[in-house]
Amino acid sequence: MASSERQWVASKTVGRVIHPRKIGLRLEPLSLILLYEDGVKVRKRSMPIRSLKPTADPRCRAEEFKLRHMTYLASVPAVVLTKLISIAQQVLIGLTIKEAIDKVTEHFTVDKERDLNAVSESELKRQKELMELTFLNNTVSPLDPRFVYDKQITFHRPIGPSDWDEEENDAN
Amino acid sequence: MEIEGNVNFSVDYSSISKTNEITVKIILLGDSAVGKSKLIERFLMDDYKPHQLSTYALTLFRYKTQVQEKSVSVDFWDTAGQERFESLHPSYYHQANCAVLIFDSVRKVTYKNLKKWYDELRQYRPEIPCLCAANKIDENFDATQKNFAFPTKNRLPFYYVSASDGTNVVKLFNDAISAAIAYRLNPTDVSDQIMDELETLN
Repeated sequence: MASSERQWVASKTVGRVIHPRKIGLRLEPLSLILLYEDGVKVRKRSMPIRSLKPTADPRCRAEEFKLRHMTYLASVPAVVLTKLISIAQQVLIGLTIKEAIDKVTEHFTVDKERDLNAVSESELKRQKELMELTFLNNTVSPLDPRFVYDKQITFHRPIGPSDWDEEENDAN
Repeated sequence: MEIEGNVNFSVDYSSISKTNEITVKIILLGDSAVGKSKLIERFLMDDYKPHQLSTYALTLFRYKTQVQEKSVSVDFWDTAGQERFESLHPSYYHQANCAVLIFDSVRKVTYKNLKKWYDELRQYRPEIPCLCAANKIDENFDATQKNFAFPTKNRLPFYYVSASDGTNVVKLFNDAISAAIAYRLNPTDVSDQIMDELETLN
């Protein structure tokens, strides 16, 4: 089961609040499985992905899927759903689950070498969405007992120079 | 900067208002996706109303605070994507009292581009205080053990920060506010001194 974890802000529905915790993919039958809390307990919801074609635009399918299950998926980033649907598509064309995860993960990883000042607006948006995943994973929200508004850490004495300064002597 | 049809945004950062409130302007600089907006949002938490001024491609965050019993109104200027057009509009720099220069500690290219942002800043504002921050240290903790030559060489106060887990974000912006106020009250740029002279004449 490919999965992606937590820290999405709660979405409100009539009468209760859905806190998605974890979402994953099941291949038989093809569906997304959501673990969420509704204020009482952790529940599991299975949402079938019907008639998925390998050639479909995973982003469009993800957005359709999100609209259909808005009550539960409102706060789950579309990029997470897109990634899971892409994995399913790769399995449909014959890759093993591991190969599919590796291939899709590579595509869904922030390109650290690229100058994002010089990419198209849609590519910048995509890269930002991927960064958002790490951001959300590491977020310490005000609801978290570890939260400190003015969190300060003093870093003493760097061990050495950054290798980012290596190429040129003059780093001004 | 004059913005037609909306008096609230027409602020003269060189004047002191009738209520003795000091107004300062702090600008954020750095590449696309280094986390400029995320940092300011972490500092202000929910206590802000960003104003998207799409005509000018900037987002303005207004923040009221007290510093040494003085009322201070801080305007944080965020680029809202105009950094993609190579350089920023001169009005972005106009009357700024402090700049915060940010790079992404997991993307080297954003560090290499600091020079470009810094040079442009100094072209418009040769004297204002400038702070430098390495963001996203939650993703690259090793960066905190490295010395970066750029801030050292340009004598910029340097911060390791994370908008995500909050490390040193509040300190960075509080220091920026203090620096902006200090500069605001004792400017060393000729243009600022002229503005102050004019203010005295009034």
